[in-house]
Amino acid sequence: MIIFSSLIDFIVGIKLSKAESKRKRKLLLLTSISVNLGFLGFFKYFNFFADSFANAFTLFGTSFDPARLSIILPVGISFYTFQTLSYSIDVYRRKLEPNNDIIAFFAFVSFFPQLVAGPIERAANLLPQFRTKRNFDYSRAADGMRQILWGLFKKIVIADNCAIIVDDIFHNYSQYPGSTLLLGAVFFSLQIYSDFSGYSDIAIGTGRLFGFNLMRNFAFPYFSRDIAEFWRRWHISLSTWFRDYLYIPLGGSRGGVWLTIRNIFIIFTVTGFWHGANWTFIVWGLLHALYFLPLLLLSRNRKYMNDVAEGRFFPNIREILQIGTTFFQTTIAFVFFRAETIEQSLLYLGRMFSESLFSFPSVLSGQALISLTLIGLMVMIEWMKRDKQHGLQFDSAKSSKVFRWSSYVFIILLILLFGKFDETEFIYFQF
Amino acid sequence: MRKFIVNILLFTFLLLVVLNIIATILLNSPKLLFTISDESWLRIYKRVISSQEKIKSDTLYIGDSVAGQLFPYNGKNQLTSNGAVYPIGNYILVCNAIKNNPNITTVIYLGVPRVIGRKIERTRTCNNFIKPFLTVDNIKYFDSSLFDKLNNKKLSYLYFLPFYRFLPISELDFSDTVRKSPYLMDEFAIHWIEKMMAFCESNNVKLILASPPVAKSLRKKSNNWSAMRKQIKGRKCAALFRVYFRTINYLPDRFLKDRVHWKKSYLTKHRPKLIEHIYKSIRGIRNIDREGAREQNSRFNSTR
Repeated sequence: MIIFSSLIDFIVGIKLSKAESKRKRKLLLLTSISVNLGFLGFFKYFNFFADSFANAFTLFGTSFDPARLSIILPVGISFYTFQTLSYSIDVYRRKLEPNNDIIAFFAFVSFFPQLVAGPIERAANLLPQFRTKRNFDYSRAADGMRQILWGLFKKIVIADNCAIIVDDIFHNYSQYPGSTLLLGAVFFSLQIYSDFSGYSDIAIGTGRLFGFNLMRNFAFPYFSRDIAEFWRRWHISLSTWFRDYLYIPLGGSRGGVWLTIRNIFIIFTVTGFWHGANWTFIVWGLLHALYFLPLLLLSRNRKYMNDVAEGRFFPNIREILQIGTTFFQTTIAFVFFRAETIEQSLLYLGRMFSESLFSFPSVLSGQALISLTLIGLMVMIEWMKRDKQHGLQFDSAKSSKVFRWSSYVFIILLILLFGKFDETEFIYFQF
Repeated sequence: MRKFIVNILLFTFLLLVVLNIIATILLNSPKLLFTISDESWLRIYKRVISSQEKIKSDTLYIGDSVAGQLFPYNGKNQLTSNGAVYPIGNYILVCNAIKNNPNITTVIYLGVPRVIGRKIERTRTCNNFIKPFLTVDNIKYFDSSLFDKLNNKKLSYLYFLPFYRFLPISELDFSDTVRKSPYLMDEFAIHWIEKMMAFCESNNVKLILASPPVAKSLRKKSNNWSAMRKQIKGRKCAALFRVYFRTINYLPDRFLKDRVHWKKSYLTKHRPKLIEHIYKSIRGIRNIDREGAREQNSRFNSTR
């Protein structure tokens, strides 16, 4: 599938370079979009639409059992499809010269570190790197190794330890008090961040070992002061993709208030939908649209462009409240992301915001306390490195080799002692 | 590139040294180790630690998981574990216990017939024998029979490095494809039972082999363990096994929880009787700490 879809886009790129008429160019672009989104829609969303269609019929008092597909979702399809689409669109827009080297193009699409779960690379960034000679760079390779180590720590230690607690709480939510459900939601927010950003760190670090610079995908999003900043720091490759290829072509925020509102809802709905064929993801996206819209309409969406507490170690009270509020907003939304149905999400939240919210959480076992300690350590390290690319980035001139190597040993020790090495998948592999 | 590779190698070497030091500290600080890690091999390692500590009782109980249903591990004189500890692992427990506790006069080794003579080439061997027992401290107990086995899986020598057992890649599949009758004992098992016997004799300790209850159907299937009886005839451990076969208590299969273990509901009612059956069948052999065992088991019943 990846070969066929890549071949289509490669040929479209070449044909676009030769086509002069606007109509023909549009037709070629449409071909690329149809093939890519067609495959994505077929493999990922067929059953969702079939079931939704059938459910809609029940409103009219009739029911039928729709045909369903029993096929495996091709791994990484949501990622490489968008990657090749960005190529076709950029060539169409004449922002990128079409590529004549089929080997380089296929290598760009199937580059192993980021194939299955991103970052969703832009052709303008990654493709030229396959065509230029790369020389070994010691500091880049060393920092790549550090980034891989940090990614492994986040995934194997933080995410997989959180997963044990989260799975138990979400599976048995009706038996736990609100305080425990709040803890479960918080743990899930940390799990999904550690899982996904951990994978991204491993992918980017691996790329750097091979001399490739992949785009940054996470910039410490939980230190954001508002939702707009959160979306500039969370899954950056996806949010910028939708901004450049959907939001701006739709008119962005330049067409008046109602057009802006429409575009925001479209973007966030599609973002939710991209994650999976379930109404819970759509609701998750819509919630974020509701969070984001006031900021955009009040022109406050670009208020926080620098790092929080820049030049200071401690945030002030206002920043703490802002970070806490933004984290709380995203945590509430993530309940929909994690739950299997909207009904479960609403029941979970309803139970969470009941009187039992003020009772003592019932899952503070040894496992939970160890996880909390490790999470605290991760947050502290990332806070200290919030102006860097990742949590283990060092300024070699300022830190001694002894200190750096001791840090690596410490992290490896934590991985060996507290890491979960059972076969738990990366969350974003399912997308 | 050269500088990168050199640094990687140097770091790896230093890492191994540091990990070994830390692993050694952890293995010698069992309380800390058990708090921070819940790996399955640590459950057996707990028995190793317990065997090195003070045991007030004069009777030591070791054996497989069915034995553990009657004499559960209590951190003191009941060090039952499971069938993948094998006679060799139990030999080490006995040696440690007797060396540190001259008050021990009797060792009762309990194992169902199909388990007591099992071969070591099984998947469960890594977590139940290799990781807990393959340490530099225990080399003094090993002989060529074990090293011959380890030579078939040369990676197992890495376990003599303390840190290796903590690595996620350290799972080693010890199984082979050789099929053996479950009604015949492996020579390796017989060898280590005889070693246990010799060690106990040299320390004036009575070793008793006994069996926890066994399913009735197995008596017929095994032809009353005729192959095993024939196998140990004339061997040094023959006398041990004469007593052993006498202790077998056959129970109806309907009380089985799985193919080997007994239902909790059945045990709750009948444990004292089952234990009494074992004591009666080894009657006349040196006094055993029956009161201590009864007290342990009544406490076990009340906490379960």
